[in-house]
Amino acid sequence: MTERIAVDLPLHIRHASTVRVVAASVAADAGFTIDEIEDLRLGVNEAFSVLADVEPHDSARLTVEFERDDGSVTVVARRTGIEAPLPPDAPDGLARRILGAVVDEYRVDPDGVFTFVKRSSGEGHDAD
Amino acid sequence: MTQTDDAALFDELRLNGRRQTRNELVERHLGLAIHIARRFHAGSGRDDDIEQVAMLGLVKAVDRFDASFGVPFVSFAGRTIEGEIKRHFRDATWTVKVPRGAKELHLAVRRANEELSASLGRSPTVDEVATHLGVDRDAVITGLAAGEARRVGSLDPRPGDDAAADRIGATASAERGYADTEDELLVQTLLETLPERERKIVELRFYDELSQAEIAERVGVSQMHVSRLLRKAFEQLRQHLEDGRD
Repeated sequence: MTERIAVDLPLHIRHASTVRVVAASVAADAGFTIDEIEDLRLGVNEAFSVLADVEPHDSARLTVEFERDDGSVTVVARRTGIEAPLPPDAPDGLARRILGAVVDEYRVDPDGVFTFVKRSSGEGHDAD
Repeated sequence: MTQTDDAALFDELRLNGRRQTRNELVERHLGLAIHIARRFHAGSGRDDDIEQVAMLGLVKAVDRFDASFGVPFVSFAGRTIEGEIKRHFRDATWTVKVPRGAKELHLAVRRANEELSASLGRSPTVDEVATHLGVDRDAVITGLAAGEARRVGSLDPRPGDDAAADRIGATASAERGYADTEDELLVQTLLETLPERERKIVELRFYDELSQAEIAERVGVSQMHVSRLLRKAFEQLRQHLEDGRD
């Protein structure tokens, strides 16, 4: 069964911890192992770093949707209330390297929507 | 070196309180301090910080030892040195101040992760950690969140991980062209800010695409240690990049 959870918060890096906690909770529900949860949280961190790299703006917000499916969590993050487009080379080289090491797929659409997928190895389901 | 010699020196220290006697006791047991320090960084090369902390523990042990404790000094010193090193790991390696409760919860979760990983042969789930620790799921998640500055885990490819092509495609898209080259130069520059061992490990992961287990074998440390070093290195790299932008 697919479940969607969304959080909407000011676009500022100090709120990244809130998103990481939600990510951990969603991943725990999906039966992820601790290691997989940590990977997902690192992915969230990178997405936040890329999207929050703008001048502070009162109306700027970040919406992050978590879609939990059997054995995977898809994270879709987008900025709202701000006109500044993402730099054309976003995510930066470091973010690409780190994301490549911790999540299974990621992409940044031309309209600035950041999507990544973390799949469970299924090891955690052995515990069921 | 005998227990009797120690006792005589401690008697002398109690009587004269001389620094020379204290130093002699410290020097007699330097080997013990170094031995314990090396146990804590086994396989990861020499760590001067830990040896310094062990020395401090030894000095504290000499200052606090009382023969009426009824235990040999070596036993007392061993426990004091170990306690000092563990405190060092707990306190000095945290880059942000978090409430002791959350910090201890995080350490408990981390420890449980290590213990259960060893017994299960895989990383445990949140529910398994919760059961192991006798706490609820929220507490485990809180413990994970408290570890913002020090993340633990595995980056190893997993069975059924068919996304390697996605990763490679995403990181090596030809469309990126020149920007890609610039980015690579940036990553290389950032990598140079890491200590040599961490840099080597990250390079093996980024460029040689070795698994953690393969890196562990090549570098001569445990897979768990590779995991920690990688996460710490990722955080340091990100921090250096952010600092550079300020």
